[in-house]
Amino acid sequence: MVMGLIDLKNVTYTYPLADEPSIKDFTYSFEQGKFYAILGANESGKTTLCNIIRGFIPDFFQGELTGEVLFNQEPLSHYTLSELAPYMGYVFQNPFNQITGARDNVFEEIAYGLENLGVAKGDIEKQVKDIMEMTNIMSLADKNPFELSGGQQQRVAFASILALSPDIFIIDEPTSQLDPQESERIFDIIHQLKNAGKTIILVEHKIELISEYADEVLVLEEGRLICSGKKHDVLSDISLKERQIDLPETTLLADALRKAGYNIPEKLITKEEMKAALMAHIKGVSQ
Amino acid sequence: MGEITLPKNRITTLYPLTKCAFSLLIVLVAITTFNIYGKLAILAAINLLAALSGVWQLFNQRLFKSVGILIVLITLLQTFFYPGHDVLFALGRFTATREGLTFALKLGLNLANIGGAIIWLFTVTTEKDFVLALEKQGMSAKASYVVLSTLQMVPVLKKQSQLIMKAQSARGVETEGNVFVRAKAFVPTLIPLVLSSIQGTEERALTLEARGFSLDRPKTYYYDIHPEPRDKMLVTATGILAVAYVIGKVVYWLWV
Amino acid sequence: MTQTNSQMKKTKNTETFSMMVILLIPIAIAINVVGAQLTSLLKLPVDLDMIGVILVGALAGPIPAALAGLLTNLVNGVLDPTWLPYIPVAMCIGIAAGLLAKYNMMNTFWKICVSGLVIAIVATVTATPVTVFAFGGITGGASSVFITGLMASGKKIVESVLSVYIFTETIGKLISVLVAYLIIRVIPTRTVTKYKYGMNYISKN
Ligand SMILES: Nc1ncnc2c1ncn2[C@@H]1O[C@H](COP(=O)(O)OP(=O)(O)OP(=O)(O)O)[C@@H](O)[C@H]1O
Ligand SMILES: [Mg+2]
Repeated sequence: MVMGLIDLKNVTYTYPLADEPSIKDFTYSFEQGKFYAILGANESGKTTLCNIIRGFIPDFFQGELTGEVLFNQEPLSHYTLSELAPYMGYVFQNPFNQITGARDNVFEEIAYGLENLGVAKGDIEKQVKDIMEMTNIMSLADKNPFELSGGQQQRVAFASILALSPDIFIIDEPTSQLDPQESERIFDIIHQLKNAGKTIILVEHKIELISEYADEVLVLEEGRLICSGKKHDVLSDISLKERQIDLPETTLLADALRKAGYNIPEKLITKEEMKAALMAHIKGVSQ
Repeated sequence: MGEITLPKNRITTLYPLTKCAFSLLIVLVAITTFNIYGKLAILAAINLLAALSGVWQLFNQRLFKSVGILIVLITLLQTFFYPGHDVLFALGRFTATREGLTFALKLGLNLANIGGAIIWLFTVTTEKDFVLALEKQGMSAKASYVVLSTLQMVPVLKKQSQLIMKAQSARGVETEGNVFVRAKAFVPTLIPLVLSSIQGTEERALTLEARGFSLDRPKTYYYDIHPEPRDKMLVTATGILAVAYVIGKVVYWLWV
Repeated sequence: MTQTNSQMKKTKNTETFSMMVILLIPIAIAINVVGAQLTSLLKLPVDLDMIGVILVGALAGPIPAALAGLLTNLVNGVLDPTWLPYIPVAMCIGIAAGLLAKYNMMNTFWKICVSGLVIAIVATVTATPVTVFAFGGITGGASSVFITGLMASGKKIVESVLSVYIFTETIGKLISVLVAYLIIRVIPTRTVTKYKYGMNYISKN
């Protein structure tokens, strides 16, 4: 097996007092600079997997973890949770709980991680300003983070992790409280991060955005990895529909067209691809 | 708690620990002064200090709200009920005594003076600055986090409790009526509030770790305060004054 | 090669000041403040301003609870310095609650009653001298009316304070322990068990 940036080998994990493992025999190699999307129904273990990758499991959650979790070929358990902060950023599911409570305005809230890392004051100033502009929250700078709306808190939480500029981003449903436009902006930022060579592990339900931006897709079902690989291979797999996984419009449309007898190319997942295919088809007909 | 903007002047901009030293000196003098006129003089001095700091009005509002009403209460009650013989006047079957009045005045002035010293300190110093100064003095970052986040949590939960109360009276949970009826409204108000905040502690604990909270290395303070040369001078002067005062007091006691 | 990590750092949540405890204390203090606010809003004649401290004691033991007590009175004392003389009282209540939890005295109805009584006694014994010496018996709190009544009838200050406190504190602390217990019972198991004494409150079925 190729050694990646983060390697999980035969990982099985059971929460304390739980009867059944929440992650079962999971093996995958996450490589530097790629964008991974994790899909799965509710309670399928997406957040649990993220917690394992970040080392919160077993350190914080305890319970029973077997198998290997390697970060740069070294067991993750060699690091303390805070030691990993500059390398692995984590954006959690609930925006309100990600307000630290340590600072009483948004600017300082975003600067808090950099303060803990001991970054020089001038650098903090510049970094935080850049990030706030990027996430479109400059106008919130002096507000109390606790007094923001859910969507605003979600952007502040994301900005707080961006500010740390880690190599790996683990992001658990960052757009749950955002409108389509703001969601698009977050994906745009994630795309920029990928172009800058960052590794991204994202849990997200907005399948159209995933089909457009992700590199690889992992599908979980009751703690098991049931499907994984290049997004074109995974998201065009119509059999996932029966397993309650949302698929892109394009996949569904292509399937319907094929069933109706049309000759549509394989592995279309984005709207653009569908458009191109249809255009080609129509051209073919008119000639 | 930080809604009020402080006037910026030579006293309010002192380092928090300098102002704390002043406050402690006042408390020291207040608890070792037994003479009523002495106590009155201290109260006057605190008022002067508050006026010089440009917060006289706010200071007195806060003083009145916290100990003012209590002092009035104590004076009224103790004058009548404190055991004594030197009758000043009688109201029905209760008699006001000089002993009671003296006791009440001394007690009241003590409360005003000690309370006043502390209220002045936190009228001219934000809690945020005070905690930061303590942290830079060596208090652990964890302790300062606990205090800072408490200052944030309290208003958040207060606001939520008011919302829940409103929602409950809208749903018909009685918040008026006899003691038992009212007591019954207590639990359903408090529990959802606590539950929602405690449920978030796991994620918030990990959020802190993800921001390097437990890192054992020197931190940067983006918002920062520094003692200036005048602060060092003033703290030293206050210290010398305190020592001189204690020696003077002891010598005086031994003498008399 | 398969390596088992489950043995690593098993002792995490028994640490006196684990992250979970550090995050619990501010909430506990806010509970105390809201408890005090609610008692005055609902005009209840007992003080329910130590529920948070008792909660910390029940979950995390005496030292964090004493700290929660200290901070409650400090934070309140900044605006109302009459809280400050009661710092030792709040800390003793925390220590008592924490020790009772340590000996698993908070998880059935009768044990809660005993704990309520013990904490009430601790509160009465520590608060009486403060009320008498710092305030001459009158604090303006819920119990002041009764204390003044007794003083008016000719009783000594100490006697008046003590006899009223025994009564109000018993009721107040019984309710407080009970409410703290109810809170623990509604917190999800996964959260409760992350505290040192959390397992004590999980029914084994
Ligand atoms: N801290 C915990 N303690 C015990 N069990 C847990 C804990 N967190 C999650 N679980 C259980 O583990 C399983 C997987 O949960 P997880 O939160 O990882 O799913 P998810 O895919 O992220 O779900 P969602 O889409 O709702 O966010 C569920 O059965 C859940 O009940
Ligand atoms: Mg999840």
